[in-house]
Amino acid sequence: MEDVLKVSHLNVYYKQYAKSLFKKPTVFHAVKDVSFSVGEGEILGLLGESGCGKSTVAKAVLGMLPQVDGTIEHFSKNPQMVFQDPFHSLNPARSVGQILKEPLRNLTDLSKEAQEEKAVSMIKRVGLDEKYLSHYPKELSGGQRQRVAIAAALMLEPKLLIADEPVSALDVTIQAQIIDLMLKLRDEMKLSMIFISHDLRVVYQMCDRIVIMKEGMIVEEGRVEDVYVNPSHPYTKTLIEAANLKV
Amino acid sequence: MKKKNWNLILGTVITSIMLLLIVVGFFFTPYDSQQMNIDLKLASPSLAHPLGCDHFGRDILSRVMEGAGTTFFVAIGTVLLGCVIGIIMGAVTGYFGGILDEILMRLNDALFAFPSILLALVFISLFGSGKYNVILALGIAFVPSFARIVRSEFLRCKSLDYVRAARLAGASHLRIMFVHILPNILPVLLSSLMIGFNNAVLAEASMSYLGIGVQPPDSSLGMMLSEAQTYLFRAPWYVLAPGVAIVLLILGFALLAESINKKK
Repeated sequence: MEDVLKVSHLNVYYKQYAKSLFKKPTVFHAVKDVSFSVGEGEILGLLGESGCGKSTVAKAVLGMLPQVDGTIEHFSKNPQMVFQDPFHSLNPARSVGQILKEPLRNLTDLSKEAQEEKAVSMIKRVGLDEKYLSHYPKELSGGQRQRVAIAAALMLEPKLLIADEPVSALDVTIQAQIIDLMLKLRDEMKLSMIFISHDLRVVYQMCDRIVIMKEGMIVEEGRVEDVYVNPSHPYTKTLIEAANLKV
Repeated sequence: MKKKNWNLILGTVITSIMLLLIVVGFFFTPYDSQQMNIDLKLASPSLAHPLGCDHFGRDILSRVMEGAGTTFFVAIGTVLLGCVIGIIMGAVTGYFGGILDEILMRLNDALFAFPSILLALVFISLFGSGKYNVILALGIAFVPSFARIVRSEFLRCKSLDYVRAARLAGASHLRIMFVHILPNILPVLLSSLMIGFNNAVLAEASMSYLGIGVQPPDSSLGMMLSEAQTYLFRAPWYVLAPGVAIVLLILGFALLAESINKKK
């Protein structure tokens, strides 16, 4: 299996401004020496409590942070991201069609007709009717919005998709639908994913391998079944006990 | 039942009356606004001259129609000029931040510290008066307030997820600024545009009142006010006509701005 992403010894520091004039600014070490890789067609779960540096890793991988230490190697073009809250990740002033065609317009030289065609086929692929192309995000429900966000991320046919808690803002029934959709798209498009979550059940359903983070460090890594049955780190044990999972 | 938006209704009615007056005045006035008639000097309102005549015997209604047009033109020009420069400045500083932001915003603060009339006065004394110089002078004085509003909105929007998504979709900075963010701040911008328009009407009127604004033979509402003050007691209708016209022009737009704010 070939890798689509290889991250080695990633360190991210945030500068925190001093609260008082007489104190020095402090540096917050958000991600500490994190290394992992994502194979082709693999879904890697990134698990941990809030504030443990999961999203920071995602941002670093996508080049959204100005300065990071360590190496991030991409073996595919245009990695994309699905954000947590579909109420913020879709521009309220643009129609669904415009949102879907935006990456094609900017990064490919397809004709208007070809763009339209691709948008229609993609929106059907994520399970929405093509009439929604002319709708605005505020006319859609949360689940529909997240489908649009996934469609927009897949327009360029990326090999790597980073999903930052894509279902945690949705109802449980909608969660299941979106998870099924993502699994289906993974198989159809041979996608690799980094699936960020704090929900052990969802991760168990979705992922092949998981990485568990605590306070910016990786504390455990392995195949989902192995980690869930045989957690080695005490933090993982408490996590799994707290979730009360029957594996 | 939905409550009626009286601000919107009243604002629309007053504004459309004034706009109608201005547009009609552009093509047709009951009398030639420059024609003097010594027999009609300071004539009181009558059927032939509904708002009376001024100290040269010119028809006040015709002059108000024409003057309101000039005032409106100057105010719109001022606001548009200030708004366009303000949007560009606010967008660049708010979106990019950093050292450019510091420099431009401190310049902005310096400009803001001057009262706009004073600033315009300096400008006029340097470059001479007249309609277009007034627009330029007031327009520059109006830049800071727009720049600040746009900057704060851009600051708010630039860290939102949809901007990150646009970045991943390969949109350039320029495209993100003006295609992705700008349409989202239009409601805020629209109400400040209307308030800005009102301030511009007042500023133009006060400059013309001081004699440094629009120059004869053009007439503006402020100029008529300053001419009329000498005859305040002999011919009160002379001062009332342009005064009421200014009030209505501002009131209409203020009500519209208020109704937009409420809708949000």
